[in-house]
Amino acid sequence: MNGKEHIEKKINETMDSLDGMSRAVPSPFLFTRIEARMAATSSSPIWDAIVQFITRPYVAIAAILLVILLNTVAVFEIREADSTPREGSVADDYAAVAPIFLEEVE
Amino acid sequence: MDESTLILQLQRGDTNAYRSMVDAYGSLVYNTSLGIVQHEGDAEDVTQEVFIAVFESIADFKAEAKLSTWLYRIAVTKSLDLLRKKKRKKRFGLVQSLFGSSHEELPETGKFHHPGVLLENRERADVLFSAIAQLPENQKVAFSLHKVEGLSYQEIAAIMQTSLSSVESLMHRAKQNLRRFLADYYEKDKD
Repeated sequence: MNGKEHIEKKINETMDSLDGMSRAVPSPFLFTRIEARMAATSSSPIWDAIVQFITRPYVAIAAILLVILLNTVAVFEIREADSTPREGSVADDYAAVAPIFLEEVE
Repeated sequence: MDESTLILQLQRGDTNAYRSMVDAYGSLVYNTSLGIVQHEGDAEDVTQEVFIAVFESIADFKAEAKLSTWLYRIAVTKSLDLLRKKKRKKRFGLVQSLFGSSHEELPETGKFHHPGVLLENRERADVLFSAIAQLPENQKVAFSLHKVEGLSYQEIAAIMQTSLSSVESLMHRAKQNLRRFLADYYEKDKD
């Protein structure tokens, strides 16, 4: 038998090496382990649901957009408040009181 | 207990039915996963995940397919997910080790011994399993379900939700690739 035929024979034997095999069996404690794992994961279903909801991409993106929107509104509000003439309004307030005071002196 | 009764009891949340299902189908799920992931600890983890997924979604099971087909499908999906995750982790570990930032050792990729293989075939089966691990996902699943679980092409087609001719083609290509891998292996072994 030459080298090539020998290799071919080995390949055929290897290809057939799974014939007649039996099923592998899991640990006898499989059900107990599944129960334990389920109990561990379902210990706080409400918090799990909340975390699951918050971590959804569309919820996260919507939250980011809302924060940006609120910040933009806040910036515009502050700018508007800054641009109104404060000094004038304070002077008007005093002016409203001053004539009454002068009339009393006369 | 017949399958429809078992499903009804499972949908009612009967704990004894859960236990019966794990007892009846545990080895089916474990052996399927073991054939694909080729690691006993990982196969055990996948088996647990499969049954948890089944318990969580049994209410939606419409019995359009057999319960075993559904279990095979989940087992295959979860096993492939685990392999992808391990591959990603290995790649990341490799990159980290290149930059010297990781002190963790890469996972061992030693030979896998399936406990169900006949003693006289053990050595060759180990070589075959390492060749199966190199196959593309679909070929690996089809070949593993046929050889490790002993399923017919028709059953594999139902599990993989594909046609019989596609499974035949997958098996043909898997065998061709395996023969090529084995030829390389034995050529190197000869030197």
